[in-house]
Amino acid sequence: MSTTKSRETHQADADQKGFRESVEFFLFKEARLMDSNSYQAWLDLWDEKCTYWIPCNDEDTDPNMHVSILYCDRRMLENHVIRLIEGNAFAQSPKSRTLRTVTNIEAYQEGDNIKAYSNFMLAEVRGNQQNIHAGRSEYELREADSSFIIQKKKVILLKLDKPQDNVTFLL
Amino acid sequence: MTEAQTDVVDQDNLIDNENGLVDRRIFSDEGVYQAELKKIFARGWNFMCHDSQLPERGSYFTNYIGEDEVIAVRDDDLNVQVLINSCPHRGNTVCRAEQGKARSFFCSYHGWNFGLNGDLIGLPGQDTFYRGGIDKKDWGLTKAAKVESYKGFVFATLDPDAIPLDDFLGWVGRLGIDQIAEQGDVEVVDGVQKNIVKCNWKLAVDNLFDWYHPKISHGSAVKQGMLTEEFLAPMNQMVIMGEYGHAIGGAGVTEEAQQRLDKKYANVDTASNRKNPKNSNSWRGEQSAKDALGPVGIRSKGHPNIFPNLWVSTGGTQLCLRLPKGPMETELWWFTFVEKSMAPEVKRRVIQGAIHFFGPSGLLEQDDGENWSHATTGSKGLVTGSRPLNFKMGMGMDEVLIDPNSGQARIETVLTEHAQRWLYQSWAEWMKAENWEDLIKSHSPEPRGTF
Repeated sequence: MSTTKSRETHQADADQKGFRESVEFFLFKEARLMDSNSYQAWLDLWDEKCTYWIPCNDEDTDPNMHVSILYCDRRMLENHVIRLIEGNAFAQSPKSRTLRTVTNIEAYQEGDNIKAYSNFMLAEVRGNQQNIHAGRSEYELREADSSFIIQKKKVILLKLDKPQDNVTFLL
Repeated sequence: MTEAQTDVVDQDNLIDNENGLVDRRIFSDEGVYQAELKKIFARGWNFMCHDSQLPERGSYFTNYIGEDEVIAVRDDDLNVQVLINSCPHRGNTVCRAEQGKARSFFCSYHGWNFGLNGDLIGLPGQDTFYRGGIDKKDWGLTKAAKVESYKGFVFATLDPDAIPLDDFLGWVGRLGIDQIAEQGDVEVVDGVQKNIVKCNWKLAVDNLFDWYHPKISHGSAVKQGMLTEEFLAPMNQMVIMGEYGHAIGGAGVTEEAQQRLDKKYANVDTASNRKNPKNSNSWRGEQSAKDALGPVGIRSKGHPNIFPNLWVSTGGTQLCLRLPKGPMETELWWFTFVEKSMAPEVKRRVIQGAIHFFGPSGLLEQDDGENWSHATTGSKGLVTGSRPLNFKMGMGMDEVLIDPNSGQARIETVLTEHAQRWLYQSWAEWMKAENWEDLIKSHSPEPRGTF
């Protein structure tokens, strides 16, 4: 798969422990903001110019010519998130409780760009049910103010080609 | 106390047309659901796919008729066959992908192999084990009784007595499909989005006619500034009702407004209009569209539903098929359409617009699904389910108007529940009819007079 191939071409990172820990810290923080429904704080992690993509059917499609589960620029991302902040989003009334475990983190520096990869397992409680969602995330980050800013994020759900349940929470 | 839920439901008296009441058990009862599979889905015409999804010999797309899984496939003669996806030997599926291209359908259990027209073309041990005791021509895949298409939209029925597709659709069903077909040479965008909602399929259908809910259910989309209240709840409503349960409900352009639009688009050039449409409605200015839709149809911008479960959605950009998965679960399949000659940037805009509003992460869709689920769950309660639902809005208060030249009939009015009442009334007629012959005789003609 393309992901694996591009990962293998990255430079060795044995001496980058400090760097990787800081990326890990950032991804853990992002997970906590998502799980605590801290919508605005989560939005603040994103660049003014950004892309957020949850592909549908297949992860290697052209999102401009193939339908996606979600494909957003900054403006559309704000629209989706502000909807949840403003209230009246009945799909999240009451809100899902989510708890995710973020693992298998890899991070690589490529000039000014940082690429990061992670897996997640997300348990969601909604109504009387507990649902499990699993997937991988791919990030393009840039450094800013001793932390990071998300320029691109792609979330590959394990069931990207299957019927989706209500997924009105942050991924 | 009314009749308890555990009793066998009297299926003949679930819809009260006189009083605009609907028995809630139609949303949860297993017996009603099993009867629907037989009397509505197997008997009726079901949308399979669009021609563009089967571009060449062997192209296939798997879909459902009720809960029967079927393969729509382009055969050696380039006709579309609809085959039941189940090997007649031990019942295993012979196709496990959602779409693709095949030379034949091979059963992975014992190796029976079927041609693109469903014929059994080979099986291991025909001479050595069966020793001549099997006639291949008797053991092909089961085929849909009839497959027909309208302007590239392929439908199938499992009932050999079904009337032709064109008669089933009638002018209202055809008008619904024309909302997509008349945009030009359309094709399905790669990828069908699917989501699953724990609701009865009829509540999802009912909702597409419902212009009462958007301001409330979709309040978050208004607050966030993406959609206006006028867009979500247009004051000029037009309802068109056709035989066998088809209907179109929603915004109607007034005759005066249409005259202004006609002037605005008077000299529209078809080729450039299709390549770079000014907006999602400019195709309506083309003469061919006006001719096909007719003087009333061109003014209808509401939501068509092809009975039972095919919604022509999002201003003719999407089709949403509502597939029943038991009485209390429904899959929604979203097909997105673009005109082939559209500029890539326009295609991109159409696709993005579609996925942001509908589908699994659609801003509108998400809130709807939650409401339908809760409404479905409630109908299982003993007392909860015994209280019929109210579909009285506008009942008996409007006149059906008939265009003198085209004969196209419609109601032009404020928000009503006319289309929903028509849906449930038609549903009851399908459920009561013993067979097609009976349904042809007993179904209601298009409403006339006061409705």
